[in-house]
Amino acid sequence: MTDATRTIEEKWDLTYRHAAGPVVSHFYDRLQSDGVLVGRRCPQCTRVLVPPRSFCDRCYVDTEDWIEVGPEGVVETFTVVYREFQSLPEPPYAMAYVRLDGADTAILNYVRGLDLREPVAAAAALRPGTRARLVVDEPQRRQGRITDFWFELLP
Amino acid sequence: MRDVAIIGVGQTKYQHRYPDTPQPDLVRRAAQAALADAHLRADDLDAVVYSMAPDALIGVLHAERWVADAAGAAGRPMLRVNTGGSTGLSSVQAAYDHIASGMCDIVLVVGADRVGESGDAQTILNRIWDPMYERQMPLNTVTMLAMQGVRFFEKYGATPRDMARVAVKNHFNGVRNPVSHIQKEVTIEEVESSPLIAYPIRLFDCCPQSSGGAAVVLASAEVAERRGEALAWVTGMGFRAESYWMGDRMGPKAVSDHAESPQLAAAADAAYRAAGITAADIGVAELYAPFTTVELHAVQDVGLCPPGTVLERLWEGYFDLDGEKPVTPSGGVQCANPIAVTAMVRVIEAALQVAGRAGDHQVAGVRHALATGIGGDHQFFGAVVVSDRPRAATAPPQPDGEERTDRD
Amino acid sequence: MSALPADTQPCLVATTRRGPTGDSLEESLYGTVRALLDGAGLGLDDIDHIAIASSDGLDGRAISSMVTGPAVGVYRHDTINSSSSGEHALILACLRIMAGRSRTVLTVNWGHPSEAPVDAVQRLELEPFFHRGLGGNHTVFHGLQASAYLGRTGLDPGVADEVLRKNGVAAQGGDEVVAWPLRARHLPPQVDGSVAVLVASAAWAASRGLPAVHVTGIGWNTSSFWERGAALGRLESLAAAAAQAYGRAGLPDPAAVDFVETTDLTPFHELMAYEALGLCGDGEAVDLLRSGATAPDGATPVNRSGGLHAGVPPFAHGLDRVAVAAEALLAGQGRRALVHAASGLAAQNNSVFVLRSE
Repeated sequence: MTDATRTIEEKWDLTYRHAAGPVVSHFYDRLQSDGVLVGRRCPQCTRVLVPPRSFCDRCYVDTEDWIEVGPEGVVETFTVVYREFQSLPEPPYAMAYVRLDGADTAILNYVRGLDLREPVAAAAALRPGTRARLVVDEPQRRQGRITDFWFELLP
Repeated sequence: MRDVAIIGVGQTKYQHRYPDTPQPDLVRRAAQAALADAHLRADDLDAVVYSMAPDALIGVLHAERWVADAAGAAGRPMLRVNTGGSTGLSSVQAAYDHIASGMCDIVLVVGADRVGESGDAQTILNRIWDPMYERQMPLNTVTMLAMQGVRFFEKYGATPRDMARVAVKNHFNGVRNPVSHIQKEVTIEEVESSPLIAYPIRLFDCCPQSSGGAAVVLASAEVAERRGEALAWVTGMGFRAESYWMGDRMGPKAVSDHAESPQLAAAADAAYRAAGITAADIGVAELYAPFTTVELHAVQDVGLCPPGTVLERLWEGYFDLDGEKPVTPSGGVQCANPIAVTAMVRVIEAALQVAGRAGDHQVAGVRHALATGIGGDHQFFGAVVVSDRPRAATAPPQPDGEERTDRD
Repeated sequence: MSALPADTQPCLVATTRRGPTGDSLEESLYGTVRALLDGAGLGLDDIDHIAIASSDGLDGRAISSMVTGPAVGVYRHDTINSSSSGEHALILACLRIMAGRSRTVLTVNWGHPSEAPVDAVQRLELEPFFHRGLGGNHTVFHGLQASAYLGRTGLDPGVADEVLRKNGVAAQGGDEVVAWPLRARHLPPQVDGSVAVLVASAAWAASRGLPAVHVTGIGWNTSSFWERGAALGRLESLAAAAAQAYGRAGLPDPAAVDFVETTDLTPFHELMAYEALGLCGDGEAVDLLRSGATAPDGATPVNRSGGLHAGVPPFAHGLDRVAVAAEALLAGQGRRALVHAASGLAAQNNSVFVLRSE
């Protein structure tokens, strides 16, 4: 037998078309057309869930009303990435879970407009409790995706 | 309920890649090691539980089919369990039910992973998030737990230096475990100067991408007693799920904090109750902690120290190999993470400790050991207690013959 | 193996089956479980454990149970996920109840093929060294299997249409050959849907006064991946699973049950199942079919429901077959039933459940 074992390279290329359902669709409709974020209220625990879901996984009941949230909120947690991962953005980049005013849960997105060269300084600026605001992309650039918006820290 | 014993364990060496050992051969090597340890042949098995987490990590969907022969499952009952990172622990729990139900007497739990072959595991692990809202963000297990660490810092006043202390302990232990992937001691300074991956997690806070296989043979009390070869007895089990939504684990109305996990605590409590013990009886804990930030909260959650005391105890050496409550004497996930079997390895190491077979990382006099597993986005939490005697000898009888899994 | 106490015998006490909903996968699963709970007058607090089955590739979610689990109610619950097949989750549910560890286990399976590149996904189920380079999907393997069966028995391929006529399902495809001997009309439709079954201990079902279908026998088995060859035309692991289940249930004559539901991946698979289940001797399936015994009004009706051609979501085939049989028993259409579930490439994995109503 040979001493030199082979490797067989195999690339996966799969495209799914995930059904989003009415609640997710409405969230992206409002984001794309009006530049606002909306959440859904659970009638049982009364939490306003952002991102919105059609049911509350804690109470296991249908959510009901639509509630517009933000545009300001508070950083609940964050990270700043300094290593490159395949198929993910070029570092460094910051992302945070921000609980928008009027919401009871936090939504994840990039935090832009921050100097990330010094990790300790960036971490201090992003510390949980810091206020942030929603920034929505120009209307013609919106695609009805989560990347249509991001956060910036409030001065 | 019938008592269930662990009568054999097997592990391959964990390393980045296995270029000379294709997946079926790696599975077979692990299975044969455990069968040899139990002095059994595949023909003696009543069933096989195949332990395999995300299909994508080895690049074959439903690869349990391909490796059926290698796992000793051809012509036998086999099913696959997958609960993400907790898969190996869930597999042991499933095998327990095979035997406790009376359907089987001898069951093999086996699996293998080849994370180092997956290109970049974190690319695959990005695809675990919900496709509607979160997958378009650069989430992966590092960033998910970096954000857990940041919240732990805020809640308990921890710093990156505390994380480094955990890394130093685990690397020290890993050198004493011959199958560990990472075989290198590190200093606080080396951890703190290792490359920053995602704040606050540095390279030496992270688990490696490991390949390797592991297997456990479980048997009924009748078989174990007839053979007189139980390494340990499975005396308690628990498993609890958290909300998928990390963003729901923060803010005033959250009932769980992403800093830690009440559901890990609930799973461990269920296991202690079933075993008829408390956390104080645990001699060794093999905790599933792929990043140092996780170990900081896990030791508190499973009750090895009161909430808020982990940092103080950590620096006292309380969790060190020669400490009061050694945590993860094997070096743990931080020194080897073959994802499909990582949580099973926690059970194997717990059993080796109880059996007095852990070699250079043996802790003296362990009667009860805890193994945990964590899966999903810090969402599935499992616990197994193994003991040096059967459950009937440690736990009080259940009044109604059933153990209702209590929930709050 | 010891005898089991009667009060921890697993029972099927509620079922819900739903087709396409227009919702997201998670939403449709929530709707299915919500319907089951509401229909049975139960809440999630009544559920001790949740056993699901998910296929990462079909679902397009790399750890599907992460997002699908919460949709079926796993929040703060004890739970497990099988990724080998739907019926394996049901087996885990039954074992757990038999072990006395839970009184109630909710089991949920699903498939939403309309969202997935199904052929490309199935190609990735092939191992990369010898099979994947050749390509192939489930249909191709089922064709190989049907062809091996015809080779073994010398039957005319037209027998498949006799099975479809017997099952009373309208042909949903044309005459074109897809993978010899399979024609388009022999292939079951690919539909979206989900199935939920509540399994409970006999003691719990009795305490709630719920009608119960007892699972008196379970068997599951695995064929070799490599050493099949001519054996492809025989469901060997089904015969082994059946022997295990019949032994447990004390069922000496499988043909004595009131009806059978099989996983007829193709009409040829229904015939292979007759033989492996022991409803007839080896190679005698066509005689059994033509005797009318397996027709809806025969002595041992098989797939009275129409089988998979009635529209069953993939990866939920097995649990769907069990739910269909349980519903028929609860509706008084017989007292004993046999269910066959198949999964894996070329039905590598087979399971058998023996059911009995009170």
